[in-house]
Amino acid sequence: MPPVLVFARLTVQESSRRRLLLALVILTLLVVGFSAWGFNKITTVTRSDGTVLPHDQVSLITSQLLIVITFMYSGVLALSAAVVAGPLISSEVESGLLLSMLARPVRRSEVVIGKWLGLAILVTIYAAGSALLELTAVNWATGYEPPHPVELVLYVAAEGLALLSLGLVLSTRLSGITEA
Amino acid sequence: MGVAAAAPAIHTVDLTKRFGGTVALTGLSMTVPRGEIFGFLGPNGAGKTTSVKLLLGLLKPSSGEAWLLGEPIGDLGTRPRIGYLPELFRYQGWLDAREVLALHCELAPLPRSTWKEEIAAALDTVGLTDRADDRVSTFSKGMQQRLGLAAALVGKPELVFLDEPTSALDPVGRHDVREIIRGLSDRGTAVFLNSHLLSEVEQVCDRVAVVDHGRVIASGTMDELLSGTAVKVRVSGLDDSARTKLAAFGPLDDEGEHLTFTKLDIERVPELVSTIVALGGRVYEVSPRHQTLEDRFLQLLHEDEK
Repeated sequence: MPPVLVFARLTVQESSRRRLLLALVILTLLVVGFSAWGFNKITTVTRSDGTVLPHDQVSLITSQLLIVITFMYSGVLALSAAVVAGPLISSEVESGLLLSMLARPVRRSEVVIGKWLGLAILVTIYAAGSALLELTAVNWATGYEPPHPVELVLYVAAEGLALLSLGLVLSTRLSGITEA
Repeated sequence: MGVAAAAPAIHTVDLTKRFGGTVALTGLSMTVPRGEIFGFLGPNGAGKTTSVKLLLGLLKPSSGEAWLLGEPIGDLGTRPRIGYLPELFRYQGWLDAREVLALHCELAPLPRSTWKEEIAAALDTVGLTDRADDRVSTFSKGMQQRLGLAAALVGKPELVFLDEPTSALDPVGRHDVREIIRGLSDRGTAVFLNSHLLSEVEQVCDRVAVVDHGRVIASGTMDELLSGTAVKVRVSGLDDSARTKLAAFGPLDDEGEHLTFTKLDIERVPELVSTIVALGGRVYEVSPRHQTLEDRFLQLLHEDEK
């Protein structure tokens, strides 16, 4: 396996072995569950005459709420990606974890690209998976389906990827400063 | 290949490294033949680890040149033939020992069919076979250092860099590491041993170089370096000015009641004793002995300060 893929695999392996993924999945399920419950409440709200909201009105409210939630969610995902990526390389340089591996026939660029690839795979899978889950939950709770679900998922994943890349680039620069 | 096969394990010419205005290593020129155990000594901050990192290509030299196994330093093609145990060692806590070694086999890169055998042999050499399937996070520091040594040994390298390989080990572990180093040398692997544990170096190394302030201040075989005699004197009643006068007898390691003259000709011992007595000192014991590496090391550093 080329070194880039070895480092990508190592990154994915680390997050799963350290139960980071498990914790993330549990938290996500909780959040999706709560939001489904909340969305479902929209359909049970009664007006002063005792009738429930008509379907069009439920869809309108749901669509607006979903947009707000998506923005909040993408922000949290992007921030966490940056926070995870930031210390990734510099901490491994400082702790000496990378030293013995860098003495192997491995380019530094391969280490960085490999780590980026591993995290990118994680972020993309997580973004796509959780967004899909949320859309399914909303659909189940209110019957609403956004007009461009694929674009929504892509947007969320792309934002995470962009911040992850920036974080990693900064992280390698920072290590250069602390190393000397 | 003919030239490279005959080339020394390490050859450096005027290797120099500066970090901004600080000179970490200046004009390192040395040759380490194949199969030799070479000790690289020096006080903390002398430039030992910098030298190792330069040779491994982890740092770029400011000037000078060096070759490992006949190839210029930093050449990725040479690295599969080199093993390295860093001074600051840490391994992936979420992997077990076998997986860490498999990772190094993969990066080395060794053919997959040889991994099992290589890993088993390396684990056996460092005595970690029964902990092979335990997570590294459960390892003590000493066990992690053993694991690091195992990682440096996979793939039967022709040259191994060990940077303070026994810093976390107990006396038994140190003894084991000395045996491992001798074993490496027997099968033709050159060992570059970075250490400030002098007795250790004295026991295993064929040749040593002493560095201080980024310069090599002495180098040679152990016999060449340790030719003199050291004299230890137990004495009382000497004040500071008297002790200063004793500097005429060469470098002095002053430990209060015990004074060690790290290089003193045995013929001068009577003169030394009469001088101490004349200065008002009371002599209880005088024991000449062969110079140890520690005596010589202190003497060299002492001379370097002048």
